[in-house]
Amino acid sequence: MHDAYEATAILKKLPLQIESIASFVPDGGSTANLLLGTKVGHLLLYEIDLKKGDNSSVRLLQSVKNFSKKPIIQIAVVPQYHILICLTGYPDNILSVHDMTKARFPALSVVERTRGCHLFTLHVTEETSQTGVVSVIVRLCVAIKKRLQLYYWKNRDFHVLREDLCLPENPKTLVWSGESIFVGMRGGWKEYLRISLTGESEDLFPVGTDGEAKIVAMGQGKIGLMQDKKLVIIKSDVFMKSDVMKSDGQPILDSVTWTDHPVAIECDGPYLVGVMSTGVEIQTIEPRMIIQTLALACESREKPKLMSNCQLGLVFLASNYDVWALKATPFNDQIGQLLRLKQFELALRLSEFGTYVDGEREKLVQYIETLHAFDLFCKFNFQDAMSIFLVLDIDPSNVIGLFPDLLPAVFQNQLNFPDKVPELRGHSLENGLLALKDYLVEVRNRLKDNRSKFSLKPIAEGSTTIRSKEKLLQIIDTTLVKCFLQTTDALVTPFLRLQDNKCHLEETERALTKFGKLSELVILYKANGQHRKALFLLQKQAKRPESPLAGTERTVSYLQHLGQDHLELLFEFSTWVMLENPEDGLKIFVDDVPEVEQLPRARVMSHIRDKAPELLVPYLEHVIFEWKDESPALHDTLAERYQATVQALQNAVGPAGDRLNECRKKLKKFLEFSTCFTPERVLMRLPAEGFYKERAILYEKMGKHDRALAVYVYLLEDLPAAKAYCQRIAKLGEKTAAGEAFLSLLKLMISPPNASVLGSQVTRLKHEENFCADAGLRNAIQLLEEHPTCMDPCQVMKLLPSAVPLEKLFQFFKCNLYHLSKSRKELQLLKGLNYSQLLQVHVQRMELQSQKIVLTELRTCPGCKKRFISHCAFAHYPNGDLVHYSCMEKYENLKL
Amino acid sequence: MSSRKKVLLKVIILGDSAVGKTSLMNQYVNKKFSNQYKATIGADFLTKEVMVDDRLVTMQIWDTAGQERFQSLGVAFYRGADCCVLVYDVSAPNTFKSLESWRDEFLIQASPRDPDNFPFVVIGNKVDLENRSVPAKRAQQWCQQKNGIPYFETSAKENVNVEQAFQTVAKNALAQETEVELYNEFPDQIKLTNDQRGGANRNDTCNC
Repeated sequence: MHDAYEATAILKKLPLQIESIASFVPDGGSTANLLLGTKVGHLLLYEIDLKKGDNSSVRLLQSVKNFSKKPIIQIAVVPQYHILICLTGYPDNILSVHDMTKARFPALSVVERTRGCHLFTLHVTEETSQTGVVSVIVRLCVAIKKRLQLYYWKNRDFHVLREDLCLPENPKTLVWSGESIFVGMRGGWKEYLRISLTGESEDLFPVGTDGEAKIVAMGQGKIGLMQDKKLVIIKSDVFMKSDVMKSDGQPILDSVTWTDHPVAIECDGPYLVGVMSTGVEIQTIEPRMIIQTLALACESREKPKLMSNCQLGLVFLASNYDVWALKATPFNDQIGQLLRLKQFELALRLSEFGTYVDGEREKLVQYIETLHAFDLFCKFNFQDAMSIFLVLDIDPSNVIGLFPDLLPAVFQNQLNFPDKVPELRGHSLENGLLALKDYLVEVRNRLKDNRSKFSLKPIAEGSTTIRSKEKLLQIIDTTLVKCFLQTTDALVTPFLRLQDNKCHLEETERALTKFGKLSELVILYKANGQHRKALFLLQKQAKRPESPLAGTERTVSYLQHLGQDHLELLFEFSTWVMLENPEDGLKIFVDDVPEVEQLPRARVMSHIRDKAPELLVPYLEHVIFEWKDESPALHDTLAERYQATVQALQNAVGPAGDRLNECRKKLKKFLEFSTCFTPERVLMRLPAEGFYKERAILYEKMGKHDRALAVYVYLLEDLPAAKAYCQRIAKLGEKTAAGEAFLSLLKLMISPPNASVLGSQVTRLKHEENFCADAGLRNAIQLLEEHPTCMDPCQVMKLLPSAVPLEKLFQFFKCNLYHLSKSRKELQLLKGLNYSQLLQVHVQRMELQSQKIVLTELRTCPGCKKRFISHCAFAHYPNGDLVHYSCMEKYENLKL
Repeated sequence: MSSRKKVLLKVIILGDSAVGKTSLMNQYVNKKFSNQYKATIGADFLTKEVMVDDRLVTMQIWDTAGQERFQSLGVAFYRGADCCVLVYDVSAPNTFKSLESWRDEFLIQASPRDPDNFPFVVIGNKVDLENRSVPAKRAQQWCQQKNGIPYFETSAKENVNVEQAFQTVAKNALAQETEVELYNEFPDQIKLTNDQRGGANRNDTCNC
């Protein structure tokens, strides 16, 4: 608790009994004035200047004797109009208005209608018109028995505002708030009532069993109603429905309990001041607490009974013969006290009431909130502390500094904190780090969002803040890694992988190493482009069986994703894998990963040939058969490797039959499959003897059909294969090539070729000497009969020896001629058909060309509903619609 | 754990722009598809009630904007998610490549209790297109590496596999939710200190 108010007795033992009190600051003045109405009808006006110590001055400005012949039971002042409203007591009970500018306050008017009045309330508001003129509106409510009269002030007199309002019972107390009047009833009724100016009334709730009705206007649309020892606060402008009148629901906002029945209550800024028989009690609503209890120095043993709030921070109290002033300690001093007491919520509330120069209030609020957050942190309420830090834009590096061992020592030493930072360990450290982690992720998001401004405030005066966004992000990210390491280490990997991660390399490296997070270390290196370091680490760890990075797997996948930009590195570190585990080593270059597929294959090939030649064939096989690579260099190399293997196996001592066959099969398959190798080069490397099938395929690829056929006929002695070869060529569709192939075959059947046809390598034709001309001729005639349409008869005639009897060729010629005439007829037919089609198209074209569109003045575009002026582009739809070219899109949408 | 109270599952859909997040959600909830592309701004959600193992649950499916990163949505948006759906376009290899970073971002922002076992579901969308370029095998392999994330290939346009994918989402999300409930099963702590705020008897030691 702090000292919010100080009570000073300003008038002691007055000879006259005080009946009523009013206080005000005169229009244009600065010192408080106090008016006292007495039982005998005297009116006293004091000027009160409260200063520190005993320098307070109390000066009697006027003493108006015989102001009234009756007791003055209620007075009120409107300083803006310099008027005093006075209610004099029994037997007249009438309201009069007095001019305060003149000595002895002569009466301006007596409101005759108010005869019998026992209570009144004023409602004064200031309204600023659009032109900036401030007008003060004064309204008056007078209670006469069970009626309320309403007046307004105009031309220095009160005028009737509306017809009277009726009450079920005599009111004890009245307060005008906004467009409603709150009434506390006396007698048997004892209820609070709300009457709006439109005449609607609403019962609120009972006054309570003991105690009198009391109503306090609290400003900001709130009103307090006393119920027993409790002040119930409700919204003044919302009708309460009985069904929502629960203590926790709206519109009951709050309630304040007093230690005793207050005689009077006033609302002074953030405080509620209650006067009770024991003294004065000061309370606040937010936060709800009793701030101070004051005992009043009292010599006459009279209890205080009246109270008047003069201005913010100054309240007068009066008993029958004494007057006290309650003066609030300056708000800034109070805030200072509260901060020492760590009552931040109240300090914040007070900061709303002090007077400050531009921007000072914001600074103060920031300061209080920062201290509050820091205090929450010290109480280990990390989450709330962090959310305040976030709202306040406190430099995250300062917040990080609250935790041990997160910032580099150099930086940590530049930080100041409002107080000693508590030592965190164990469970509280973990909770703190969890909150820090959430906080930092959020800060990080905000920093990345370029729309947000970047202005950070220190956690305490003199603490260093970071001005570079980059550097700050680096600190945040590095700290986040440390947080994750200590709380949820499964998030370290995803975090390091984030593309916008700005972790400080060495610092993070140290942290990860400390926690033995090797796998994460690799990711860190990778994210920072430190591939050599990463790969080196992987290589080192691969041989340690207990390491999480043991084996070649991690290196393989790392290298697979490295891509062609780091080829040198890739080659360097793939070598040990290939030697260690050839199968895995091969994976580096052949796996189904986009980066791997895009590696430059020629360079990879030479790398593999240098470092692990045994992997060359599997690599090339994958590249050629799986990825369908078509570069001749690769194909040539593979062919060469196959040949070399086959030859090596052939030359090898001992049985190698199965492997040899397999290899030859592979070679053959490859030669048949591939179209990209250079057959000449392969041919050159073939040994002089053997490899006939391969040779035939190579000749075929080279397009040297006669040689290929010669191999089939004379070296392999496989006529069906030769025929199949010709048919294969015929199937490819090239008629002349097919005809030539058949003719070559025919020629080969009739007479053996000379050795040069088969190339210099093949020196000897098998069975050349026992060539049988008869058999050859038989085969030739059979070929003619089987494929009569494939060969040109003139060429055939030239080839056949003249000794062949013509009848043997009968079948051939018959088929051939038949075929020729057939194709001729087909062509004639086709010609006729084409001609008729041509004619039809002509007709169609003429029809289309004869179409026209007539544009008249009356034709409008369905798109824009405008006419077609000359020289405009338009579109014509098949259904006859005509629109502007520019309206086309609109029109089409319209149709949809 | 026999609580049969109404369960609300928060599901977040992430992925590059134009992979079909909104379309998937629309197809699943409204059974509608539009060929027109309209970029989502911020985030939007639809709800759907589904039966999972004879339990009625409400799925709140949050569709997000793929064009921006997380900044605009903030941590609060991701907290309390029960399942995250990662979507890519089978005809655009880059969208598949981004899955990893979407997953990482989600984990950092949402920071679930057990990141390794948080339920994700991966959806390869637009299988109706001719020019497919991410092999299913590659996607499956990736999912397998990430602790066996369920993988679905869908077409929001032709409503292929959408229902199945979201059924799995609901099932896994419910499993996750149940796990979280288990954590929260402890009854509220009973405070032994007198915590009556602002009571007039604050200073009294006795409550009578």
